[in-house]
Amino acid sequence: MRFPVEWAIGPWAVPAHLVFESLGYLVGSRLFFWLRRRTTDFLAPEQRWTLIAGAAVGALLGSKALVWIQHAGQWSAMAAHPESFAAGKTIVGGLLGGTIAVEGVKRAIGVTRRTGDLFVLPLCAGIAIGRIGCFLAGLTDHTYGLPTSLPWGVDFGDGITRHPAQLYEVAALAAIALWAWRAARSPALHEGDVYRGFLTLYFVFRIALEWLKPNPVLLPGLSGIQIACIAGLFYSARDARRVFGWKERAA
Amino acid sequence: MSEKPEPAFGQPLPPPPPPPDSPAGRGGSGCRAAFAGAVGFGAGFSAGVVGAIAGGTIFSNSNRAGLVVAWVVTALAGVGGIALAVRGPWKPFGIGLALGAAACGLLIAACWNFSLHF
Repeated sequence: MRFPVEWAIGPWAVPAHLVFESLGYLVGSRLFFWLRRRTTDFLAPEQRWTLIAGAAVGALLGSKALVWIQHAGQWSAMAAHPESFAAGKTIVGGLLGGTIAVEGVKRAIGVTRRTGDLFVLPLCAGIAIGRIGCFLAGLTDHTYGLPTSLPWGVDFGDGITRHPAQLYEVAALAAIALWAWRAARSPALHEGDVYRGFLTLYFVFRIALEWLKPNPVLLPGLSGIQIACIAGLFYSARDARRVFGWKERAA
Repeated sequence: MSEKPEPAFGQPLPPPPPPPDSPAGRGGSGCRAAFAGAVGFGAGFSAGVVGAIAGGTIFSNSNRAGLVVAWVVTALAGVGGIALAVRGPWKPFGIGLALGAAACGLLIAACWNFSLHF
């Protein structure tokens, strides 16, 4: 396999990354609406659509803001090429930005109940499909791992075998989705707990995964994404004892 | 004085009209809302595409500069859409505008993937 993978469609070379990222959005949104039809959504359609729009715009802004924070040490070099400020986006920033925006929109339209549970499985599916695209983009996507001699290391075209960090994330998202599927049926959980559990598991996983990636370091030992994950855990892990059942087992 | 005719004695009362916010009372306005949302989506998505083309034309040294302009335009359109969606009669248009701008902004970043290394 040659990276980055592209498919020839007529005169155009279509990047696999674009195809998989678009497919991720499509599958995620279809899965969301399918789940919404199967469950009782307590929000009126207009309220739900307003929250979806808030989540999308918050994700757009957050995914970009965290890239800028992640590359804070390169701003002076980037200033010479202003277009580079528009490059890249991060999923952690998208999740945090989307969550903050939804909380703001909920306050503005007077929704007090928690609303995130329906988004969990669509997010897992959409991110996992998008990550396959990141893997197929190879070195150009900057989501690969550090060099490794492990047998499953992947040569993205420069002769160095690296951790396929994108595929580790696909596997982690499959495990998180399985947890969420089971947790959604647990009578011990409150409204919104599945979403918070998803965020907690994903942030913890990303903190660990980022140490396997060649990231710029912002604070000693921590990249911007790891710092953002730790900040996110203050929001998501507040009810971790109940969400993950530790409270019942301790009792 | 009511203009409604009184029901005859012994006849059941007619059912009250559905409130305007109920699904039954929303037939026509639902279509209008869907149309306004679709127009908003088109406007939000087009804003990003037009921004990309305009940026690429203005900053002719690099067509990637169009990405910067497109991203700024989609971010502004998205925030404006949310502001419209949260209050006022332009709610469905605002929802569509925000979703169209966000879709365009996120897809543009996927299309134009280039190196951050110098």
